[in-house]
Amino acid sequence: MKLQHIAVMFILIIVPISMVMASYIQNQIDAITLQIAYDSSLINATYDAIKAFQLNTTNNKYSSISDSKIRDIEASISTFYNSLNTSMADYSQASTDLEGYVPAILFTLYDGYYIYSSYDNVYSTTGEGEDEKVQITLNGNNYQNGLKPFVYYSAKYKLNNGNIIVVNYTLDNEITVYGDFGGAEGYVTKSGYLINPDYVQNINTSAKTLTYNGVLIEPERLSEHLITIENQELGTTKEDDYIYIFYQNEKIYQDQDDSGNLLYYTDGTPVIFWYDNYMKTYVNDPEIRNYARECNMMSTSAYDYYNEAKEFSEWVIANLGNITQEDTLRIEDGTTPIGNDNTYLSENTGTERIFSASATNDPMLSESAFNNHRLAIIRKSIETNLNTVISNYRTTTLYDYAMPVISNDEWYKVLNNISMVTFMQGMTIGYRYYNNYAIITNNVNKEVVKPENIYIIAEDGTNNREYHQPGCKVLLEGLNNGTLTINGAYPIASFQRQSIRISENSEDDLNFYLQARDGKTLTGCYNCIVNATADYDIYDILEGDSLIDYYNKIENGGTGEISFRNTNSAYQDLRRSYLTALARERYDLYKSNFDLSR
Amino acid sequence: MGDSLITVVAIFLAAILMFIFPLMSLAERTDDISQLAVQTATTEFVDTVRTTGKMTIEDYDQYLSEISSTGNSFDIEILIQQLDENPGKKTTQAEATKIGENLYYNIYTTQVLEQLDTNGRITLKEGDIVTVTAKNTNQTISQMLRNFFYMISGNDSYQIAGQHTAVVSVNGSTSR
Repeated sequence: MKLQHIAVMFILIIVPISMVMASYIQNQIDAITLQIAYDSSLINATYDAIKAFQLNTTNNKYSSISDSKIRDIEASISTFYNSLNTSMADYSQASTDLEGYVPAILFTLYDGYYIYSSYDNVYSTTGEGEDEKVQITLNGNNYQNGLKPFVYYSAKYKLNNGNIIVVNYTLDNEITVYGDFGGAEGYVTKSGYLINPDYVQNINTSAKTLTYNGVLIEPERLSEHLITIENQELGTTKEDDYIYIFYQNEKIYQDQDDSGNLLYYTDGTPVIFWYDNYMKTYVNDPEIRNYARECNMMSTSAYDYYNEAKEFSEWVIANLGNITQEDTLRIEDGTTPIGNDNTYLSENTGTERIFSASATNDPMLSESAFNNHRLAIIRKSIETNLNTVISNYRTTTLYDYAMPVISNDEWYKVLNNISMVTFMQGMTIGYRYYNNYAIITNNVNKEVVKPENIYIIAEDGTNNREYHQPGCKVLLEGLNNGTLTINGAYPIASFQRQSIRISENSEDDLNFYLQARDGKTLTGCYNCIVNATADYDIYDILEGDSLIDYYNKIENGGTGEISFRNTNSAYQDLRRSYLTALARERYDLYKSNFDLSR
Repeated sequence: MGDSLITVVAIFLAAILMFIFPLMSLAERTDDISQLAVQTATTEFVDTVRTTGKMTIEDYDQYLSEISSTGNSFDIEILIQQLDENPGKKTTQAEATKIGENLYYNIYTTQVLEQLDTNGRITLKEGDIVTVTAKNTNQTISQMLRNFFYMISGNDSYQIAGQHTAVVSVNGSTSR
């Protein structure tokens, strides 16, 4: 054979191989490019949805009421689909088909979670031939997409006497216990915050003061800046600062005249109103009026929080103190305890007594046995339900839906905040199917008060005010050298912009900030709010440990040099404001689904 | 004389056809795959930052090792735009979500790396924007082979690049 022949044969062999390889690799590249594009669309749509939830809840005075919450969640889910449709339009997906690729959307809230997925639309007959399931068909399908019933973060435990009780958890240290305890206790339903009761001391019931972990908790005066609609027809409004208290988780403001004098009725009762639909709705209920007069418009929520939490915790320790993770009943059957199966829950707390709150198991802190167990229970509950929902997802596509594995780090995000987890799977990309999820958490809302969700307002010598994170170095140094003084501590949602619509025309909307009091703008600190640098650990402040710069901590390779000792008076002032605000906001949080005992 | 000239030409052609062509095609495939790996790693890195609200030295190191495993050296540019809502707060009518009514402070690569070195992390807040760009600085085999035929010169003669930008969706947790 001549050289030319060999060359031709070589080319004949190499060219097809190279072409097939090129096409295969190109296909893979296209698939991954598409996958990245889908990933981005999914994350962006989820973020848009949680943003919609955030905007709706901060601007909605009724956002905490159960029906209103369902509406906010449904609105947020429709935002998700809108956003997904818009961004997917480039990748030739018919917008109406998208629902079929989203087997589940998980929405975790303060005390439980919703799953948005498909459900069978049936009703049961009554009367003759009772309990026949009749299917309601819509567009040829009997299944529809919608919110499934709310699921509490709950677990069952077997007591020593064989009785079974239920504990509902939340995203913080509040729990509800119910069940038949047997003996003298009998059937009990109790809700409350679990804290270390030994920390609460020197209770003075008449002055409403106590000390918590060495910090003095006193009644405090709260105020907010509001725009009220004075005359709805003319659209006239008034801007002013009002002092307020909470009564049964609703804010009650005291009215004042134009020159700022507080108004009282002739018998000395303050003139109080609810802020409803941006208008002053005056309170006539004698019970509420009486309460307002007796507390002299000073909030005692922080005192009530610690006082009630102490009582509740002591009861829990006495009645549930012996429970360890062994006594947890399996979610699958609800009757057999997990015993020494240490892998059933994602966190193994061993033989530690979960509800026995003490200095070593302080439920306020993230590394306590209670907290680890709580996270594990919530995770187990979500995992079990989500798995069932996704594998049973019914739609027109033939794809076999399965729940992807979510890593520990991601679970940690989900379990610590309000979050939305969206799953998208079943779309063909190249030679395979797309299967991914997006987790977006949110900490600016009125659903939960995490330790990070309290901001401190500080004032300088010229009456300029800024808000700070509690762990801000600028704040602590300012307090220490006397250039700053603390002017209140409020939850993160109070620093969000509020809007009022006074006419059909959205250009007339008025905006205001709840904490922009005295006609002054309140800005965020450049160190901790704009640059988001918090130098000190918030849990150190919670515990009362000395403060060490993040990079100076021994576990981060530093020298362990202390910046502020826990005896420093500026630090103590800060800690008092912080612990008071945290307790007050937790106590006043409206829990729509939670409190079964009331 | 004529025959030997043709033979020389034929050998050259054969060499190009049999060695350079497959080599180039293979090298370009390699670059395509590197490109893909770099783009995926960049997207993942930025998405981690945006959903956790912090950039940690561990994540950055992992990103570095992922893109270096393609066998190329990279020039990485990180840009963090920090949202400053304060100017918008001073006028109550400002629309916080509208472009132009809020300011962004930019932090560039060297500042980012310096902070990562000293603090081990950078915490971000909701609304900040993170952009990461990676471009190769070495010559890949396919670039070398291509330069054999024609030259592309200039500053931006990169072959492999990955870029991703995202808005941070959560306030980074500042505690442990």
